[in-house]
Amino acid sequence: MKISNRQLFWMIIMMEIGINLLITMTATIRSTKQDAWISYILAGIMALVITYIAARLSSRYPKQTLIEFSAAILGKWGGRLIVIPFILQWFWVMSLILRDEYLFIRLNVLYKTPDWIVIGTMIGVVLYTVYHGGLEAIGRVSELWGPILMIILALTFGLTFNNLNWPMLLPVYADTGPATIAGGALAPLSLLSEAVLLMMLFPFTDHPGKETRKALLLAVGFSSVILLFGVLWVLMTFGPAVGGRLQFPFFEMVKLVYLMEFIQNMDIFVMAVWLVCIFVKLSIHMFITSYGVAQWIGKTRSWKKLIWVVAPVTFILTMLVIKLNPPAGLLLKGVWVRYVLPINMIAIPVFLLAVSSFRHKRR
Amino acid sequence: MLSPDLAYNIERMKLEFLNCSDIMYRNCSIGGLDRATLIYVDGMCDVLAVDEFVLQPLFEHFRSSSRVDEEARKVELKDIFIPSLKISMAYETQQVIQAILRGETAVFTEGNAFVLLADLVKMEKRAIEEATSEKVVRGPRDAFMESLRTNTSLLRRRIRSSSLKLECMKLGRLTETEVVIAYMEGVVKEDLVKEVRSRLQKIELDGIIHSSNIEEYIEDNVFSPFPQIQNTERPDVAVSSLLEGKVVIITDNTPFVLILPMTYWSGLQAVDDYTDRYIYATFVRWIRYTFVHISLLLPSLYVALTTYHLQVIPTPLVVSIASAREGVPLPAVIEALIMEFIFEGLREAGIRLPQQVGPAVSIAGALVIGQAVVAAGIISTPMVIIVSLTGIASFAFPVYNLGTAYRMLRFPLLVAAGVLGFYGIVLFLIVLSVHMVTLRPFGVPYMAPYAPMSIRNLSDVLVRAPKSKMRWLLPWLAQGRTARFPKQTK
Amino acid sequence: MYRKMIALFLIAPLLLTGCWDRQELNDQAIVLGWGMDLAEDGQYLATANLVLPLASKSGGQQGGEQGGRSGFMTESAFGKNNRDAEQNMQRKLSRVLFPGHRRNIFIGEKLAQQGVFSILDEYGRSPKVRPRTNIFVVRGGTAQEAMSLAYQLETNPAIAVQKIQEKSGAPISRSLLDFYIMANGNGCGIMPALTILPPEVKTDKKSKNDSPPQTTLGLYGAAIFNSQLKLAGYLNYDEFWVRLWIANQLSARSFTTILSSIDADKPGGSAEDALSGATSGKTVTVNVDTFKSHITPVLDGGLPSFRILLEGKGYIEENDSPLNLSKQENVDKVEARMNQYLKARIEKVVKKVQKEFKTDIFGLGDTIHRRHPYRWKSLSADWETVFPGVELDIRVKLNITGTGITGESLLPTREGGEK
Repeated sequence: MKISNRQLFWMIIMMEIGINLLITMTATIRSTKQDAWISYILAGIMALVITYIAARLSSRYPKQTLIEFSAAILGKWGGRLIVIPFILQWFWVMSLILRDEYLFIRLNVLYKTPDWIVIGTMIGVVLYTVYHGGLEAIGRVSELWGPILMIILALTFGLTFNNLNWPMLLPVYADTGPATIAGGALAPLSLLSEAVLLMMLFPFTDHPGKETRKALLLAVGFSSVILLFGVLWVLMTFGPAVGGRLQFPFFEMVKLVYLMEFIQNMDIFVMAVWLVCIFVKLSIHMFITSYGVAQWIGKTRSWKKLIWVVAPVTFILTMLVIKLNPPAGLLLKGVWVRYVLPINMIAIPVFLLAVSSFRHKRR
Repeated sequence: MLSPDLAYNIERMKLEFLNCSDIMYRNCSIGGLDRATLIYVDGMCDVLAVDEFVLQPLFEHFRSSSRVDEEARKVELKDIFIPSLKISMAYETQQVIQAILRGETAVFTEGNAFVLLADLVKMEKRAIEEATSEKVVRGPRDAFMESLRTNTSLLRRRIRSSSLKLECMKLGRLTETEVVIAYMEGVVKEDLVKEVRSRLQKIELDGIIHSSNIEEYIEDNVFSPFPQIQNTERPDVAVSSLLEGKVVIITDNTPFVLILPMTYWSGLQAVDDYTDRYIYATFVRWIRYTFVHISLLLPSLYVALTTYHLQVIPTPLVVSIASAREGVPLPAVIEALIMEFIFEGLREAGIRLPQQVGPAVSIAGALVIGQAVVAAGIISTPMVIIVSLTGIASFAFPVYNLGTAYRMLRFPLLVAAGVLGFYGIVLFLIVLSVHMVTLRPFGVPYMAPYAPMSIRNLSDVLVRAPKSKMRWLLPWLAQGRTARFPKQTK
Repeated sequence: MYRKMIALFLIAPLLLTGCWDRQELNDQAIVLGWGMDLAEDGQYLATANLVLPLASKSGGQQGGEQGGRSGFMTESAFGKNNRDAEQNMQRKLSRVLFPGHRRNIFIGEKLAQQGVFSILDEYGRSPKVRPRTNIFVVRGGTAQEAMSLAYQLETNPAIAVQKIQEKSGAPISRSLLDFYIMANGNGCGIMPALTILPPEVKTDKKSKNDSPPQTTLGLYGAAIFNSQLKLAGYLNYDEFWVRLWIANQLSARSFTTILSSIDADKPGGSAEDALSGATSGKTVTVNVDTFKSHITPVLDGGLPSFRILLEGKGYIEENDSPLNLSKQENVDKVEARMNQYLKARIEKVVKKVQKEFKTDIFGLGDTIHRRHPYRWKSLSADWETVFPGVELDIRVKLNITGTGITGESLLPTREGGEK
């Protein structure tokens, strides 16, 4: 079960772009108005730094996953303890993505189809992939669909070009301030930084090392650029006021494509590649969760059996989230930005890196 | 063991070949004494040659010969058949029986505990004809045929190199079918040949009737709808695959040779791609890719869009579709399923009909589907357009059995579209792509060189580059060296 | 293998119970247009324009017989708002109303005067509706009146007005979206306005096959909404392009002015001549296809003022004046005359907007906001009161790039010509 660096690149891109393009924009635009794009640049740079720290940490232990090297750094029990937030996060992410996916599907495509069908079929597909193909299949599917995603995004950007009204971006900076802009960057950053799960994927690349790091940084950088384009396009199409109120502004922007009376309604294609992105993200999480839990309980070999536990648990969690229906903004701001971003994505990797290099020096 | 007694030997042979009416016995009686008996299978040996090279020398020999010395007679007997190319001696009964069944002529002689076997096999075979299942506009016309040796000669004629290896083995407990594994030594990966050999040896069938028997036995995933071993009746296709480092399996009595491993893209490459000008070939290739996906997606897209996502169809189009569908009693999914069903039925009915009846089926089909059904208001006109377009598209596959895979997948996809609309289609496509990327016929990824990607091999996938630009073997097929030829300026 | 069988059995009930959202095309009434009017008792009257699928099956074998039926029908219902009215309408309809193609929304004049705040939300909320939608105010009438009118050139009047709008030189099919964006920016809004146009001269139908001009729907111009989103007034067909040009949205327009013989002698002359509308003079028409506007706010103490430079590029389409256009100086004369004429027209319209409507439909406030954001913070609060008094320095710079396929007219030289 090996993936190439290029496959890793595509996996990260699909994982980052899909959900980010859809759900983070509204929150950011609402708080930072026409300066949202500055927030996105900031978020991109920060995400690169976070990714670099995680990749640095991983390349110290190129043959080990996060679960293994945290035990190597902090000892058996310390290592196990410190990865608990990650395992919780992964479970949590899956159910949140599925919830968002369901909301989106219900709003745009299937209005009456019961939630368990939408969720269940998606989990079924993910389960098939992870069980049948493992990481290799995920990597190849990303490689297969990644270029298609890029073509469709390029088409979208190209075909909506004549809707753009650049003065909408003005005035720059004056209406907001450094604090607002930085605050606005948190939402996209918290999702972009999910790339730290590379610590689970790193040892699976066929030559973990400098090239892998490069691919990872490239992927995060590239997704940030695409997101930047996305937010610029949304701002210039809808302006900050309308853009900050639409629930899925990017998707609404795609609906505006109107060329020669017949090239319109690109949204269905965008939705297709978006669903593939969601699928890739879910599969990666399903894989690392099963694999991580298997390593955590010390039975790496039988990770495939754990999928049969992880999938139903995810299903139940998702149904719970749907039934309880916490507002999406609260989850993003209250949970993701407040806890997951500082703890899982910054504190723990930095702490592990520090301890690891300290021990290394002492030796 | 044979006995020196001729009558005893013949008796044993007759017992063995009881009720085999095609086994012929010819006695050479000289002076009322049976001196020798010839046994052969009628229709498998060259009668004229046997007359000239066996029978006549035999008579001469017995007439003139007087010596009784055992050893000398043996030598002498062998000598008299010198004009014949292949002559051997057998001492075992089983050996003799095998040889006779192969078509050789066995000569039993009085007083000798051995049999002379003259390989004067001449079976009825047709001449080399034009390939019927893979037509080309420009390219060689000859095709493989049933005779194994003719087929190997067709390969050898094209590759005059000693590194073309043709390993022979016999498969099938009862049929003893000869199978040849052909490969280019130095190009092919040795592991691949080893793997093919061992998989072939594992076959335990009573009989190999077609090469497809072998195909199903050595395939990696029998339950996949996709063919993982390509078959062709064109020697030029086989040869170009050999040069790409693939293995070709030739089976006796089958005009279709197997090429393995097959990749998805090789199923979409036609011979004409390489004879046309490369710009045009690239263009045609993209048309083919489009049609391939139309053949899979069009009916289900139509169903999904008209019954689930009406808002994405442009307004004027939706108005005209609505008008055309007015009064049609069936839901769109059922309509599509029925029409696809009828189309497949028509295709099936037409495919094996005698040539004289064929047009009748197509006329009935065209009339019934194209006209009456629409005029009666049972099926809508757009659906007929969709189905016929899909039908045409499903014939755009250069490799027939890849087309059948998509043709069959259309039905579950239609159901998925009917239940979950576009969401169902996307989920189905994801599952399909996962299945396709996890297929690894003989260790070569099915979607290679696209996923996993090997950028320099894309010159034969995304485009059809000029020959000088397609220098690279697939890395999964290559043995170390991946360049096929040195870089040239032109 | 068994596992696959089990999976199949699990999927089977899904298929049997499935199709929750499936809605056959012929079970849906496709709404192409939607109208809202204010009824006497404060309720809303909704009118829907529905496609009649049978009638649109024109051509082919059956076209002839059904010629009697038109391609659309209208249905109406009272309700407290859009959705309520839609539900009430549904009880009269055998098919489910499908709003996915509701690309045109008509608003009656009375409702517009009362304010569109109360109904406009649904058009941006419903997920089935496309954001690319036209919204029209029906001047001097109700939406129902306008929507019931058959249109001859198209089978459906809703499609007709959509196409009329597309040819008007304004941004295509995005008036609703622009309305939302504008209302969030300046606080005012603008919508295209339709009106019912009787034929200019009534001609009787003398035989069965005659087709004299009939009463039809036409574009009136633009309806202007103030910050309460109440109708403030209209700009007519000769005026609404001014706003589009200043807002940099105009894409095509022809301008016709008069070149009197005095003009032929000396460039300039009295602008009143041209504005008087007398057609006795010698007219020139310029078709302008490239428009550009530069608004520069001037803020030195006191009230802000604006310098507006309007540029355009076009060619002469018609020349009924005696000028010989093969001479460059004559083309320059046309250009100069045109600039003068346009400047006068534009100033008149701008004055009208400032004095009568008092709403900043030109986005001048936005310009200050964008160029001088810090000044805007103090200005924005009472911009509405400041706007009517701001000074505008308007300059028009037309660039005539061609004279059509002739320079000199094909007609023989006449009096006052050959200059």
